[in-house]
Amino acid sequence: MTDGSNGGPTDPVGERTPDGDALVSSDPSVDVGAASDEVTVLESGTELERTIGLHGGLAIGIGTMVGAGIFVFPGLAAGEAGPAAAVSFAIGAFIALLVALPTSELATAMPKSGGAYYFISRGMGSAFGAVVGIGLWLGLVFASAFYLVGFAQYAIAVLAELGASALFADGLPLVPILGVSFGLVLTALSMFGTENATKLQNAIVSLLLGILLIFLVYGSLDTLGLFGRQTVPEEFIPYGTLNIFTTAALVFTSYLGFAQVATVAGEITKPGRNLPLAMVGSVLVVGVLYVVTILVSTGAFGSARLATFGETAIVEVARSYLGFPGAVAILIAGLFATVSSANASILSSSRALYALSRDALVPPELARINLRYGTPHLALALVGGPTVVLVATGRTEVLAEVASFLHLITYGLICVALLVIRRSDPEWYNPTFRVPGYPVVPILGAIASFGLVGFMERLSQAIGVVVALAAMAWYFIYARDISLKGVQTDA
Amino acid sequence: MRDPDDIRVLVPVAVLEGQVIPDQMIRLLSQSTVVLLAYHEIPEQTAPEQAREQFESKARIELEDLVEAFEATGAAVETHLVFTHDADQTIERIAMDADCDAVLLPNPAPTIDRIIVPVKEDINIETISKVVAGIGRDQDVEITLFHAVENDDAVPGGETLLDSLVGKLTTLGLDQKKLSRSVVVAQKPLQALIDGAADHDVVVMGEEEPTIRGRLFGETSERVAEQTVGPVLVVRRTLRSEEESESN
Repeated sequence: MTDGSNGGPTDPVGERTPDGDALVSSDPSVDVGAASDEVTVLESGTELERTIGLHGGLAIGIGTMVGAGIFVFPGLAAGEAGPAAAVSFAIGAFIALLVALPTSELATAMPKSGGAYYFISRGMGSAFGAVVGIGLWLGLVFASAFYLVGFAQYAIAVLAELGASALFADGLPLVPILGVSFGLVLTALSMFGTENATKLQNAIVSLLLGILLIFLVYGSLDTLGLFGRQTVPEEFIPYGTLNIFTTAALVFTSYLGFAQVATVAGEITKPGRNLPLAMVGSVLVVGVLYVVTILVSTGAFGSARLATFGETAIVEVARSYLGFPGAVAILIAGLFATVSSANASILSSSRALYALSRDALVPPELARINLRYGTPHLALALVGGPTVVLVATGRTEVLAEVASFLHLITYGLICVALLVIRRSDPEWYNPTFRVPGYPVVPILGAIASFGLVGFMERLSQAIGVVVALAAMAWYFIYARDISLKGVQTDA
Repeated sequence: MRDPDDIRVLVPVAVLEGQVIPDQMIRLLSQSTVVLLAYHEIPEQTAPEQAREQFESKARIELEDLVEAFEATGAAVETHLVFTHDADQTIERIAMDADCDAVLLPNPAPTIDRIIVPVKEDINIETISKVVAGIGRDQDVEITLFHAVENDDAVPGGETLLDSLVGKLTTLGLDQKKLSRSVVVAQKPLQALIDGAADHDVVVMGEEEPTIRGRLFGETSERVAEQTVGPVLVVRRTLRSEEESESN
């Protein structure tokens, strides 16, 4: 028997221990394996193929993020901060970059499923790990629900455009109905196998970027007066500086996506190069798109009027620049974008549950793979179920903020975990990418992530704190016990 | 270093899907080094690690059974166990890394008595003859060298091509009595080959495109594998063999 790894850096540390030991060990070397460009070779000789390239990684990041910032938030954000909402989006992008860099470093050192959960539990212990893992699972549930509510708004707008709105006019709660049913469809699709989902996602992202590029370039030129348009004159910061920050906290949901790339770190080819490029690249791409979108949108209508259009404001913007075809293109793009974000979040969320169950912080049965379909059906159901319940509330802003809250806690802890791991400098820690500007970048990243939480609405903060406390309670009641028993029970 | 006569054959097996390698095929590869690739393809929503944890032990047991079956015939066996989202990518990577001369596209094979070897002018004759000789030398098989031409005028050229292959194979120690030649005039060479393959048990054919990072299987070999009942052994066109054929 030979081991077929093709050179590549081999893991200097050693011994693979039986899976049971991994449950209590905080040392990732037990199953990190030797990662080369295209495959991870475990100590048992078993190989895990890497199949996601840079394009795939970028598509995951952009595909997860682009749904919210352009297709849901412009109206809401402009209503709160005026044209300065563009600054709010820029702040969000800056914070996301501060976190993306440390996440890249940790992901290249620990290219494991579960991403952030894995880094934090290995860097700071299983109590933090449990809170982050459960927080990520539910944070993504909130995010998925938020995207699905956005999707429902677009579906309704499409119906309205088709002149079918009269059919539904008698007070039916359309948003929950459409959102919930589509949430169930997505969950079912992911449980029963979606062939070529990645290729589909890549195609959707390319199509989206194409539509957006045409729209934004034309809109920008028009806003600048090239085609003789008079922009609506308006004060840049009509609602005060504080609102720029509260809006940044609201719209940060638009950046929950770059870290999802880390959850598939074990499947990315050439991880040392592609992981940082995919994460930083996707943040930069969507950040620029968001800022331009806000400027173009507020240029078209003025923020007060834009706000009255609600979640689908961008459709009216497109109509004003490009007429009916523009509105149709953006409607279609909005449907795709919100679906792709919801789908990506559901899948990432189930990965977070898997990572938790691998360490026996939740019952191992949750990660069981359905033999027939090859999918973790229980984990997916535990994502899809709560998601549709939340969709039924239809509260876009609260869903968005709670999702951001739970993610920002995680992001802050990622930065702290990097500082902790770098200081203790364990033997297994060999990242192929190192954060530039260490330690300033991770320190700033942590402060900014935790700080942004302070600008959220009270209700969102309260829900976020309750979820975090519940996660901690779960750990102390259930997981402490199990992780000790896990050594014997898991084979 | 590698023994120049040793042929290395990649045998991919979807290990947890009950795919079996026919005994006859195992016997045919008894003089080869068999690179046994047990793979399990999983959907994208499942992490390979996750599948690995659940299925590794079962896959290992299946793999050991296969190894025993091959080793019992005298073949040297190397193994890989891979969890992947993309079986084609994995097969291609292992074929490159393990320096394989040929890849088996397994189909059921009740008996293996007759082997057909389609030949084209521009194909990697060197490796094909090495593989055919390596397989056929110690087996009781009939080997048909097959060449399709478009019109009658091209028949003599085809005969010459096959003659030169016969020469190569006998030099490599293959008994000339096992060999027969068939030059067929046909408008559709691929269909002619599929028809010709109908009364044979195994197809040994060259890979279409030079593969560095491209697709492993040219369209032709895939279609042949789909439309014939027997296994197809695809002879890879490696950089190494190209260099050899150029220098010859």
